[in-house]
Amino acid sequence: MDKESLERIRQMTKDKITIANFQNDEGMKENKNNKIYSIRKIAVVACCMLILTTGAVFAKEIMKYFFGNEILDKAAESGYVGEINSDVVEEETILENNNTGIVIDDVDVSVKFNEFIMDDFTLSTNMTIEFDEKIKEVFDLDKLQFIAIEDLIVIDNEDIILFSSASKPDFDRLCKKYNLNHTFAVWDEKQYNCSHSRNLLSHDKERNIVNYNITANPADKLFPKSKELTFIFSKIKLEKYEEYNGQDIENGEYLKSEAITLTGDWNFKIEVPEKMYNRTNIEYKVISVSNKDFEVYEASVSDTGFAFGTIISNVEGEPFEYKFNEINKQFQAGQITLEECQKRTQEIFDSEEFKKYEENAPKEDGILKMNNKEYIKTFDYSVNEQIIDNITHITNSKGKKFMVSNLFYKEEFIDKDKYDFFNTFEMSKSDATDKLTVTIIYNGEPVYIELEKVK
Amino acid sequence: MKKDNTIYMYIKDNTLDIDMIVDDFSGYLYTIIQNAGNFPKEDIEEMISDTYFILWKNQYKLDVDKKISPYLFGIVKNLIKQRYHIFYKNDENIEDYEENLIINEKLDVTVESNELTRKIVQLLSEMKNEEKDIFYEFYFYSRKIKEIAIEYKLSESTVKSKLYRTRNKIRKELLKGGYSLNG
Repeated sequence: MDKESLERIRQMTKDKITIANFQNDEGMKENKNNKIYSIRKIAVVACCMLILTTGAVFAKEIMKYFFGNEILDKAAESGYVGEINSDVVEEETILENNNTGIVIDDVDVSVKFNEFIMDDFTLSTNMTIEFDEKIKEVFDLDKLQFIAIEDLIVIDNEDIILFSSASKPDFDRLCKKYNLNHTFAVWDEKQYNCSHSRNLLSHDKERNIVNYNITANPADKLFPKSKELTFIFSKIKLEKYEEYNGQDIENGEYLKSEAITLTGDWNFKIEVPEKMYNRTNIEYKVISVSNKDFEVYEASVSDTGFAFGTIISNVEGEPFEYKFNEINKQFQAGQITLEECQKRTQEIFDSEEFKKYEENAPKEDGILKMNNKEYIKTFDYSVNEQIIDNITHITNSKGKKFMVSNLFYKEEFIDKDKYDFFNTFEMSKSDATDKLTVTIIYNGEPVYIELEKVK
Repeated sequence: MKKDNTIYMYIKDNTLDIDMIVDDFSGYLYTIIQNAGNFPKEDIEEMISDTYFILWKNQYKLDVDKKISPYLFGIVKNLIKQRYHIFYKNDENIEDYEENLIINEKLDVTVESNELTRKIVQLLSEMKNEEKDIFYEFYFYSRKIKEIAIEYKLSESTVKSKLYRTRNKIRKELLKGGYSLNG
């Protein structure tokens, strides 16, 4: 058994135990009778079937856009979408079966970018990937369940990396190849730190075609108003799971997984539509706030969400947290070294002020007691899309309610007793009425903020 | 297999030291599975990790004075049987383990919902490295918030907030995917 194998076993075991502990904590189980699931699942399957059985052109007539995400579909339907129709980039790739080690040379893979959405909080693109017949020798596309572009880097016309899914070796390799002067995982003004989701939209076994979506959301700053984007990548991974001995795959037991990686060299340049780089949001002003400690600094709506930010004063918290936050931010932005970060953190721990605080603070097993306080409630197990009164939400004047979408969020102390709350909500321009009510569940109680559209 | 210690030797901070068990027994289990049939490499790795997971799940049912290898052998034998629905054949002397196989009958030898695990692993892979690492520190290594905060040079509240975010994101995605979250 080789070293890589040992590390994979270690990681798989770690995953299983971590997730079992998490499930135990959450009291989580799979429930196949869940209504939301059934409806969503049927809708998704129906859409995929339309694409598969009627061909891409007909499918587009039936459902023009499909990003695999409700709010993006809605934005696209209302016109906030770029039709890219990029050139098809065909590459002769090397295919490697990750299980068997079988390698096949010269497997043609064509990639084409289709629809595209970009605003402050979202970068999302649909693409079509077509494989040549050789893929059938080693992989059954009908059973495809997961696809990932493993080393995608998206860079704009100002040389800012907006998104990267590459590991360090891949990142360094691609940066060297394309003369990019960036450091892996340094989130400075030239690089964004993003979370992302990858959606397999549909696949057509007969024509060896896969439709795929990748959506990225920034974590540290809003996306810029870029005019041109370049997508570079070299690895596409396909994965399938199969059942053993006729056992039901839905039960999830003893699934056999198989993966192949296709290695090539893709490079796409995309012109960002003017409506996206010249995007404007609709601003709202505050009419009333039911709690005087709330100072709203952001209330605006875009095509993909409502952004709301407020500073809350007189919040009882841990008095040193904001200092640690500040040091951590500087470190993540590459402004200070790890040594400097450690030194400054230690200085806080060693300060007389901290020692004094520590002496009097409540303790548990000899260490400072955890502050488990949930200041703003944005999620609850019992909440569904119809009943969201117990969590933070927005209500429009038609009575429709919208939950937080977490496309971009901040919840942190910025001073001893000042708390910054910022989040996006699942409400786009089309639902934004002249008057809105934001309900923040703060320390278990609702705080109402009445807003009015600025005209 | 480097050594065949008792369970007691693999207990650290009142829990099984899985990292140490992985180091000591993966080669041993690999050979057993390889001898049992023509399994692809990935299947062998999956079965070995399932074996460790089952052992971990049953850790409080194990007799700490007994050797660990018969437990592992019993579990892996069961997994092979379940996969191929055939009886296990190899060069190992099954009689040596008979007593311990009886013990193993008391163990819960199922691995639930690999699909759910895959889904969560996929969600974790899409998160920022620091959030993911903190999640593992908390749920795998069972480290306290304070310890994680020191290790990662963060305040305790930041660690809690990152954990809270990660949990929320997983909950929300699972809810969308049809998993009931309140048991």
